[in-house]
Amino acid sequence: MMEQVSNRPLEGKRVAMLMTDGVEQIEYTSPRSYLEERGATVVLLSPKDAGEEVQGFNHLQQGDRFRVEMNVRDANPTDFDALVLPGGVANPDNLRMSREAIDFIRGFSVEDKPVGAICHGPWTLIDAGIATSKHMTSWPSLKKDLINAGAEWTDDEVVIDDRLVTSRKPDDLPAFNDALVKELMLAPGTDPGPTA
Amino acid sequence: MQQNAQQAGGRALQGKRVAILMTDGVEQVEYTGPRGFLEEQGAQVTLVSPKGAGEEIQGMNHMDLGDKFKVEMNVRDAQPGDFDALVLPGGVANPDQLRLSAESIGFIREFGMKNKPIAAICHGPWTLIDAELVTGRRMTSWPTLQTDLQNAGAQWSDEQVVVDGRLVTSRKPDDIPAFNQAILKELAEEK
Repeated sequence: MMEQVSNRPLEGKRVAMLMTDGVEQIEYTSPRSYLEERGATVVLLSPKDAGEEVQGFNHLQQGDRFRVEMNVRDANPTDFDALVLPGGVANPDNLRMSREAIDFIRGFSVEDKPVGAICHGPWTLIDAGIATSKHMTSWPSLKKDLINAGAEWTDDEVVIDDRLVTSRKPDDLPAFNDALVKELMLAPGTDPGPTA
Repeated sequence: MQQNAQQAGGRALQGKRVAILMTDGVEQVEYTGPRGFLEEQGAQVTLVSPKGAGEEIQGMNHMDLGDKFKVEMNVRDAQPGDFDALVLPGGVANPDQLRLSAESIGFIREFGMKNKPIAAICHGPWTLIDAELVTGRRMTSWPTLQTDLQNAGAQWSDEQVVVDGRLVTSRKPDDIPAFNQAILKELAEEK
């Protein structure tokens, strides 16, 4: 009934970003700051321990290091409103070896919570069983693997299917970030309701 | 004939030509290991890449930058008919880029179509999915590729080397000795 216009529409929302060494760093820093500017609390999760560092990459060059805020084994999808999976080729390749990481990702699908994955990020969705019969995109090298896993793949800057948001590359970050915010606004509990 | 038939000693691969196809991000020991071994056995090895001849490829030691290697032939100038075998090293970024090179995938596929030996290690087997050479094949790889290879129709197992027909696959740098021996066997058997 009442339209609330706020700069911080994601106040109270908690977003997990799951990643490890080899992450394409702009695919971490850009969604993180975009979501935080809108009021969300973002937590860097990893198979590494809290306080350890994740090595970022700018394509093939080593970039900055980012401190892990929570080990994924200590994290529960019920404590978050959405999950974001950045790319960087070595990052999802390493995550696929982590049972805790894959189980955590699967948990968001089970809970019907938004998952955003960009570039090589969607690779882990294959192991988590989320790609099957989903419409999605990714970095083009993953196309065949996603199709073989049962996905419908298209070459678009952002694809949204159910609660799954996927994009192809860093250039798509503006569209990706916007889609994440929309999904988070749709999440249960976001509705301001009559007394808001 | 009797002199050529059984070359004793270390020159069993005299006259054999082997292409190693790779690009930036290659796990360098998976290039230098097989290359050194095959050359010791007398084979002539050519570094083939989607990059131009004379350009350099950045090798990696896992996540750290390693050496650079000069490309000897652009893959678009390479004919599978001029080689007796193909070796595909790993390093996660290397096959990831090769998958986007139509010339590279076409080159790999032709080795399969001509039933020439293909040897792929670690992340190297990824490109075989795009080359449509894995369906119904017994193979191994770095474990992260297991689901992708199975989804593409392969029978994946966790062994240091798997040989199915003329396809040789291994899991990781530790498997290089067994991988090299299997390539040698495939090449030495070639008529």
